[in-house]
Amino acid sequence: MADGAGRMTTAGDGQALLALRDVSKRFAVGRGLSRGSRWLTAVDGVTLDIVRGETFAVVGETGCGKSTLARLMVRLTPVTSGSVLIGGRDVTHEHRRALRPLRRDMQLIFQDSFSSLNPRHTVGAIIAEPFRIHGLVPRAERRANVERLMELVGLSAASYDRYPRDFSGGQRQRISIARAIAVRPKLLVCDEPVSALDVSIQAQILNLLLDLRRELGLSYVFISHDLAVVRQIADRVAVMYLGRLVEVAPAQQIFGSPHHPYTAALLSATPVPDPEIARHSRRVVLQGDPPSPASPPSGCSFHPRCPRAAERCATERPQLTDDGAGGLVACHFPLAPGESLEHRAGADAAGSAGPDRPNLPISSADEGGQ
Amino acid sequence: MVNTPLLQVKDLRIAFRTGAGPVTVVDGVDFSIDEGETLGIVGESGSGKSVTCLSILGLLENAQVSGEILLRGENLLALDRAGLRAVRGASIGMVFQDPLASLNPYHRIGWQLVEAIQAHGRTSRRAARARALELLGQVGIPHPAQRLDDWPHQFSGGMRQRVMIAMALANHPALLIGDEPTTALDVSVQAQILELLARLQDELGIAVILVTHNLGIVAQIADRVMVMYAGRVVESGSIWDIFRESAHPYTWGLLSSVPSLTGPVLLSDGEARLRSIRGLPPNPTAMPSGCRFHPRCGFVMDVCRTDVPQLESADRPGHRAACHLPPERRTAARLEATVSGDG
Repeated sequence: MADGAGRMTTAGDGQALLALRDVSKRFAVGRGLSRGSRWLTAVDGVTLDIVRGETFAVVGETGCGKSTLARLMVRLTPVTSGSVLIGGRDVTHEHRRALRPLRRDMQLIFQDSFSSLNPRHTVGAIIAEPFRIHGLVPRAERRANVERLMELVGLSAASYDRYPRDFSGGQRQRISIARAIAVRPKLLVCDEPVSALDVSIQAQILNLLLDLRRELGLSYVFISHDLAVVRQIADRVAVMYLGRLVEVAPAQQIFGSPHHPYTAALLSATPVPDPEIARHSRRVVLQGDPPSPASPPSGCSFHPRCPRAAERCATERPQLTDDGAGGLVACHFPLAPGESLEHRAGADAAGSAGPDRPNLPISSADEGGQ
Repeated sequence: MVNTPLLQVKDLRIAFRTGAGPVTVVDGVDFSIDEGETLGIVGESGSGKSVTCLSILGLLENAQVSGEILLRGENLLALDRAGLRAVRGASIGMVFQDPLASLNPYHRIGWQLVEAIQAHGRTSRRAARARALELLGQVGIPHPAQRLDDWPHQFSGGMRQRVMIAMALANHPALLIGDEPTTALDVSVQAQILELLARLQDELGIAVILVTHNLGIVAQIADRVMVMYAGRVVESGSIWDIFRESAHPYTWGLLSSVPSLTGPVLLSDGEARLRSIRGLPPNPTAMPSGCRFHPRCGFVMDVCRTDVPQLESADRPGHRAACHLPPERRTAARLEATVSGDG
């Protein structure tokens, strides 16, 4: 699905499976009398479209709002402002009952498969639950349907009558996936689906998601903190920082030539399982911690940690704008292709930052991929 | 042998007592670490890597531990509680995955550091406080004098992990053990902690054992690597032995299933799929016979089902692997297992 450039966050032609328009979510912080006196903006003015058949990844660190965004997408949490469109229809203010048929089209998978599966129900009953809720499959046919689903996700149909505790983490994630695809959704929103798994199992689940995408024509929203995992599966990537999208671009561009300094820094900080690259690449280590969303910095919220920050960044918030290369970036001083992150954009004239200085430990071997 | 290693573990066996009888989780582990060296211990959940480290510190409850754990020649397993405490506090520091669980929420950071310093030496309160301040500075906490009397909850995850490292360093240990010390942290903060560990090692010359599931971290900071599977060491060697010339099919599987920013991408049509290791790690109550990896191994032979492979010298000194595959077949098998499709 990597048809490259041109795909903006807003397709605007009703083609989008799911669209968010300037969506924000605020939570009241504090307790008792002070409740409501302070607000935490978890998601701040996010606009994006999920196109049919694509895998759209949302990447960011703890507290950036990516999980809240996932919940807003499937209307598990109501938005504070902005609108949510499913198949072009504004469902922001739809009631639960009206949402139910639409919910079938969008399913959510969580990181922790243990707490999302009822320990007292058999695997068969868990996977059959959506059939019951949505009245989809006659009772007599449920078992056969569930067994087919179990085999589709790589579980033995013989374990139909076993309980979640009898399964390993990877197998439980397969159960969650089987339950999610039981209603033949169009979109799966996966919130850190492989983060709790060992690497050998992680690869199995990623391969399963890829197979299902091909076989069932699914689209994915893939929420993750791990860029290396995202690189394996995403067509487009949105990078989030403190509730806002800071860069949205085709995967190839994000991993090959990121424009936002934060994206570049995340890539640089991701450990590479190759001693030669790990030891000989220049690493840009961001100082400090991500700020609290309860008291975001002025201007660009990344500016206190940004190696390129200039005065303007502290006062003026950059808007997400066309980066001229098929993506969107919210930065006053975006990186040019091949430009090193250590280079201060404001501090010196262009030209000295030659394109012969690759800033990241990324070989060009990932281009194309086949 | 002229140089005794700093720590030498010989034939370590650990079994937990359970209602259904003892369950062996570490089965005959041997390794050593020299002064100033960094050893990465890699393995998945249940491989025994964390338990091995806890046994070095004598921190296992309800377990039978046998074998030898020699610290500068002294067997820690032969010491009584008090003896172990003395050796441990003065020579080994430990950092865990979750710093919040290891810090007491009801005491200020400075107080806890002073406790750690005074627990293992005769130090006045005043001198201990000065040392605490020095430690906080050493681990890169900004404005240490102002932070000394803060509570744990006032520190971020990364800063708490720095405090834990300060505490582990309190008594000038020769060995620092980190059990997944950066796993709970964000990548940008993880990078800071890894940088800190590398700097401390340069400055203080301490040896580090880093237990992790993350091969990227190992590639970045370890000198040597030990790969564990189902309670046994399957391979050990220099970082180059493991990442370039690995001799064990499990290591090949790990290396090719880890998603990376380099290397092939899965993309759409299953051609360049991420390789995975088929099946699941075994349950410790029902370990496979012979080589414990044999049910998941792509190169399994009859002998693997019956005979336990010994950890034997592979191609170079210091590189050892426990695999029945004949050495002459290894290179071809490794290429088959690790290089994807187009070669």
